[in-house]
Amino acid sequence: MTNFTENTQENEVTAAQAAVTASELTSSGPEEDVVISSYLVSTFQGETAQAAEAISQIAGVEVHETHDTTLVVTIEAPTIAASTKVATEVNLTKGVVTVRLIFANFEDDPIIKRQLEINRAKKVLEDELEKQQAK
Amino acid sequence: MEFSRRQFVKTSAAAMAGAAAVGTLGALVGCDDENGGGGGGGGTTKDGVTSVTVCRYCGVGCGVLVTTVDGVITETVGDPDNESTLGALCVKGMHLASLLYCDGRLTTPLIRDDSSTKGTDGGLREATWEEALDLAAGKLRDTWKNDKSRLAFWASGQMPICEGYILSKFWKAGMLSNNIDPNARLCMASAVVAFMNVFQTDEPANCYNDLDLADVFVTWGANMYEAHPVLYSRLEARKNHGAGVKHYDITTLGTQTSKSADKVLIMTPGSDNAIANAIANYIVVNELYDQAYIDDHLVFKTGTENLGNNYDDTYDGSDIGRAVGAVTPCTFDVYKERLAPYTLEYAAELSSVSAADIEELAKVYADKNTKVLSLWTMGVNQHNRGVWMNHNIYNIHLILGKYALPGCGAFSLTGQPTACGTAREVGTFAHRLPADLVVNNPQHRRFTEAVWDLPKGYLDDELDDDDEPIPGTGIATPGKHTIRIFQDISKGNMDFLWSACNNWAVSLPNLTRYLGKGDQKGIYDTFIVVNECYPTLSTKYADVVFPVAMWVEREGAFGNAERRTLVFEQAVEPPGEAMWDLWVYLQMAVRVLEGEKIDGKDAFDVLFGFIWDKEAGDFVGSQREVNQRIWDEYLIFTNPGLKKAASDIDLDVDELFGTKNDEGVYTPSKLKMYSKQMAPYEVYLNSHGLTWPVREVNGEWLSTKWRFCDGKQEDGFDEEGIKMYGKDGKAGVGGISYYKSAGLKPSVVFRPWEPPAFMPDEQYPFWFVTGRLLEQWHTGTNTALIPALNNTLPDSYLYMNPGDFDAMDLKEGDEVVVTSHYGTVTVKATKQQRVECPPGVCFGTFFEESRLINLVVQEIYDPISKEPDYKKTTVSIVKK
Ligand code: SF4
Repeated sequence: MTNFTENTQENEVTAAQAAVTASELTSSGPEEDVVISSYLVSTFQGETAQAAEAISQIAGVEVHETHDTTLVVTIEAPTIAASTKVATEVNLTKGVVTVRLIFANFEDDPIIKRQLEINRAKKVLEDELEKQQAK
Repeated sequence: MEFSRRQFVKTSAAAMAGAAAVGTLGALVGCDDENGGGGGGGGTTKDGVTSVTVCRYCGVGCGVLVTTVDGVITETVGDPDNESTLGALCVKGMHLASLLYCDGRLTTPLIRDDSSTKGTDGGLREATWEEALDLAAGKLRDTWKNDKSRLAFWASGQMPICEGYILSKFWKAGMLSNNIDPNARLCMASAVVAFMNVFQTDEPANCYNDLDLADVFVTWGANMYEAHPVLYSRLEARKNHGAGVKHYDITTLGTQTSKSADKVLIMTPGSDNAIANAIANYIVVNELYDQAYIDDHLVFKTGTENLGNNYDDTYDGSDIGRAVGAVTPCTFDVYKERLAPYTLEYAAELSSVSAADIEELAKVYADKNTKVLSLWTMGVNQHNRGVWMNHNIYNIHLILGKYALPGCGAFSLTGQPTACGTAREVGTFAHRLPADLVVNNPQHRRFTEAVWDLPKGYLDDELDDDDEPIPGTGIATPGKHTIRIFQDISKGNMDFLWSACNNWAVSLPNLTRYLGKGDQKGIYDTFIVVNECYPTLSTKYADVVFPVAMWVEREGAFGNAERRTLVFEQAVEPPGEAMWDLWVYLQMAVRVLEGEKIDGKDAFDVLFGFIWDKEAGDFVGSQREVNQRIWDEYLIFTNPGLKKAASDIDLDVDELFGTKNDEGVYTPSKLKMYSKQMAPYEVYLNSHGLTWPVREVNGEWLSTKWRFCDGKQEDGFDEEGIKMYGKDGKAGVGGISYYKSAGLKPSVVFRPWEPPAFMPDEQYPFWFVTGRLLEQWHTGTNTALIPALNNTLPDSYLYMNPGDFDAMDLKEGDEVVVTSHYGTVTVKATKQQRVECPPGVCFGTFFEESRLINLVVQEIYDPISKEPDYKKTTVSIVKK
């Protein structure tokens, strides 16, 4: 059993937490669907720079600022699911203590897009019905 | 997304996180509070509408601003103005919106015509609301008229406050039934009982700010990293920045929380009471306690011991079962004597934690210059001596004078978003009325009758020919607790069950019995109604399913673990024919109470006429107006001055409930209802949550963060409460005055160590502990549908010690058969170290419907709180 008495982070990726493939994430054009989120990533004292470097290597991740031991990070991914995988990978990076979600825009996520289409189509129908009733 | 917009959103995202890092997110996304808290601000979408809400997952209660475009939520931002969480969310916050739009949403009422199809995937057909309501209400009314001991409601800590309040009123005043109990019985009941025993008021005195102030954290049976992620981030931030700040983790297995703790004490399951008593004993033997504080603030007691366990259904009615809650006053010396056997060595022997480690922890607690914050959750509460362990943590803090102070105290964390706000505060427990009142206290019933405009004595039991009360005729006798309800269902002794905001078919222990596996009878004879948003295992057993609104599809209010009440706005419409739960409760009530009278007047109108127009068959106004009216009534419970009849009973003006001494001097019995004071509804609408008691000072409503601790109200201290009910000049720092406790003195009750109900033996050699992991929340109904979360943690593995795993020649993912005294289940085994089990201990999560680990979990509960012990089932494990 791991020696729990030391202040260490094991950071192993479990079988169920498979890494995101680059193809899932790589952006190839200006009109791509993208879910954009931002996080505060807390790191252990003395491990901040190393953690920032490792995190910035993950596809879709950008480290924008460092405040003491806290990193300001954005994640771009095509879906909420892919975005969550990346966040998990960030969380499991050596030197990272915790991640806190601050903002998420998911208007391009397929589930949300589908719902937007349904609501917009419904609105058109309702407006049409209203017009007909008015006649 | 167009490139330029993408750049804009990304830049905004980075700016928001950057602002959050330096505490200025509020300035960037702050809300236009004049428009009901939301309506503007936040978000990157110009024509979107922003609403102030709160996360619907765990008990942390993170504030969330949601942006809605064309009736769909497209963006979330952590609410920087919510003082509980200051703009932070965990990964689950990302999925709050998609939760509303997953496949399979229930949008039409469903009816099961053939009860033999229960437990299968089929058998439910679509119906109209009229048909479903008539059927369900007809069954409820028939049962009520025939024998009301045979009906029950299973409520929830996920039910918004006003909904829970009206439901409780329907059950307790409408049908005069106490057979209503929440799923909080499964998670918080032990904490509730201990709060009432020790302080005579429920819920913590401390607050989340203490996570920024403590010098030492002690987690007892709490995996905060996974179960309270945002609070854990706060704890870690304090540790990372505060010089010398330490974290001790006391646990039966290594968790992600343990991995960053400074010291981990791995104990034998069930030995925590021995460790806590050894710490208290060390403090008294070495005279490290605060004698002046003890003299001024505390009383000592002993209680019934040798409680045994509920090995069968007769326990509650047995001699010991009826005596479990009794206590007797004693002296500090007697308390010391009772602690004496708990030497460091004895505790070490029972717990496997070294005597040196227990001593180190005792010294840390006792250090006068160290602010210690104890935190606990289910490891302490879901325990056959859970009430006792809650007591024993308070005992340590109280004899040291270290409670209710900034950064220093004992904090019981909740698991559900409104376990405090609803399950505990509005009276959905079988023994409770709103605002900590209890059914078996006549003054409490009189007070409730006054608020509810009921005739005096209406809630009492009827009297027989000898003027003796007939239990169950009124509500003077507590109703059936959760496990009793389901035991009775499984024996064919219940005819009607209704549930909402929970999934009992997955979360109950001993599902082998309740789901009728093997030779068990199960629940097939009971007519079951379920309010739900998506199909669950519970709907597979339902006769009627009512499709209902979810999260921000209606306006509501939640109360989180630090006493913060927050109103969340309706942001989107429910889909299809799904309705607000409150609408369903009132549609049922109008049918069930048809023709009933209270004092010659229409019963429904007396109880609910202020929110429902019977003629029109609808609410009297908008959701906002209805919530406001309900809140206005509920507000009287904690502001009795709003209604003279209630105020008179609160103050015992008529001298009915107090005591007279030998000289004939009367001491009134004052309820002190302002001790839980809430603010008017509009105050919540224009804020981002307030922690009660909320006090009006110079026209402004102010939170209390540290109850019983004196200081300026505007700084979060309990200035007004102490002025109203407390006493100045008592010993100890902080001007503490425990004004709600009898004689202003909380109780230190000696609670011994007693063994678990079962110990590992040849037949069942492993301890089996159950719990939660980050991505899946409770029974999975709100997480397993979401691919992102479910793919991260798709299976409910049995986590095993690597040595035990290898000894059984297992490979990752091999199926194993787990068997206990209660049942059998097949699961996949792993030795992955997300959970690090000591030899002889294994762990499993309970979210997965296809691998119901609660089939094997014991039905043993704490004899006092009746909360099941999910942490200490003994099992065998065999490779399949
Ligand atoms: S699940 Fe809990 S910690 Fe996570 S965002 Fe919701 S309330 Fe906060």
